[in-house]
Amino acid sequence: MTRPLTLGVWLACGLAAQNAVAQDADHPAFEFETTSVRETIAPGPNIFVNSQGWDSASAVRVYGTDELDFKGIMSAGFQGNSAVSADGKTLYYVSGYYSRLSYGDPEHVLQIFDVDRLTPVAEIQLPLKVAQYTADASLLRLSADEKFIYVQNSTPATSVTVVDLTTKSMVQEVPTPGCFGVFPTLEGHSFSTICSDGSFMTVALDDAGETLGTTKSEMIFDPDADPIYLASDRYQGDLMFLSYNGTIYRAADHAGTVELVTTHPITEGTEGWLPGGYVPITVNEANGIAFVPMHPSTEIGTHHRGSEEIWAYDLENGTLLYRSPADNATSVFVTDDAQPALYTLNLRDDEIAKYEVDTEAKFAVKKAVSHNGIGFSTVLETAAQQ
Amino acid sequence: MKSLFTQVSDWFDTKVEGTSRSIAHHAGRRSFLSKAGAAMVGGFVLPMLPYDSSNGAAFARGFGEPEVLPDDCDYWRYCSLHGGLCSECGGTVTQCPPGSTPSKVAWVGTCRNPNDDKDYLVSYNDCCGKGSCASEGCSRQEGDMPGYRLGLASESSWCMANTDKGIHCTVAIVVGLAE
Repeated sequence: MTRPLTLGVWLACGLAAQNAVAQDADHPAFEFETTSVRETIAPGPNIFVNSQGWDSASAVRVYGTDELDFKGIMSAGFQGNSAVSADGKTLYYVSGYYSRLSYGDPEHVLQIFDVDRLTPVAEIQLPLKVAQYTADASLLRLSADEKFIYVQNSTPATSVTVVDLTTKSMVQEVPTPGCFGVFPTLEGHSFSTICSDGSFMTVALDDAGETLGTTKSEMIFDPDADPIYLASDRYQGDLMFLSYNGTIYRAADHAGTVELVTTHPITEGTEGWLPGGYVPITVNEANGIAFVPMHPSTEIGTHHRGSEEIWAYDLENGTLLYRSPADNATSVFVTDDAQPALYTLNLRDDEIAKYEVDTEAKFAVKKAVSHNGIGFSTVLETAAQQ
Repeated sequence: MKSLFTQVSDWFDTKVEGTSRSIAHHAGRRSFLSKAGAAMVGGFVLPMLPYDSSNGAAFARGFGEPEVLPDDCDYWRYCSLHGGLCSECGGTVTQCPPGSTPSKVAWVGTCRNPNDDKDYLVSYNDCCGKGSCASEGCSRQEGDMPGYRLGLASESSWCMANTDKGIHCTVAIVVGLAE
């Protein structure tokens, strides 16, 4: 029974100390503190980083966009993939919960978080089919009106679960054999997916989330000679992909199928450089500039390697504008405004960084601020309307 | 109780296109790999596992390899491996450690064996049902493809078809010649 005695001694000492302080005319009386919970995160626009757990909980980390001040996390299960609403107020997080962590009864759950309070407010049980795959934005995507959310499945048979967010219930599972990644259209409820032969399948859904029909595109890229990453961005409404060899593929998806618009071989005129990382392409809308993390290599298998430089490529003129030193960027995200900021993840150094973009100097970038402790993070995004 | 072989065969029959086994063994590399994204290629590997009681040595000798394979990511058969070596976790290059379960499906790499200068298909099965073993894994990922060619995608968990989802380590099994 030493514990109560010890506690009593501590309490007595504390009271004696308080009295001593209170009696000192040079110091104000000490006020006892109590534990409470901060109700909401600090105000201001945020950037969201999905720190995916493969042997522990996944967590979306929230940073302020100005100084990367860390505001807190929203946590979920294993192999989580996230999507944020356009207003930045709601985060959707799909992940796996396994009853004994590494074994036992598994379940896949879509959780909905109130970002301001970093708190789950709803959850939807999903079929035990969700892709257990390195985080990518294409694995969990909202429809343009945010009525539906699309979940990539892989058992390894591939399909997409359609969830109605107004009723918080699953609508259907769309089979997408041999295809992977979800790319919703900017209007309506259709989505496209990349297929193993280099084409895209487009699935048209009605307002209830039921399938109206599917189309298959022509071959957009050669998956043997020049495979594209899952990562993409939008530019002037078109989908922008990047290949392992450094070619940007611009594809339109607004006419019921995916059509190739143009390609930009950004390594043309250079030698011995390849893109690398997990999100190796991001496009600034206002200026039409693509930013790509590049590393020196001529070998296969280096497509996830971190950068030595970030290249700024002018999509309108088809020219490589500038090559900025950038150590080990593995994912990139640029804002769409005329004076953009570029954010990077660096897996080797466990770091998120913000780069200033000099629009007067060929879009050279320079690291301005960084923050450590991102874990296994491959995806970063901001809310479209914040 | 069904044997592992039967379980795997049942799964294989229901989940994998029936032609993938013959594709894997008889078609050329490019043809095989292009189909691997739509079908699954790992299933045909697993029936070998219950009969491999050689600690990998028989396979190793067969490929002009040393009796004990080096735990070195640069070793030829690890050319597309993305994970921790099971040989460093109480297993061998072809055997999962005790208490873990081989993944029912796998991704496949094509690796050049310097002993005979031939390309081999190597199946990388995860061993499932335990927490991660190796602190430092291998990440050569040669031939790794995104999920639209899932049979070549090393960024996927290959415990996806197992009930026990924990990814413990990865084995590297030579399953055929890449013609």
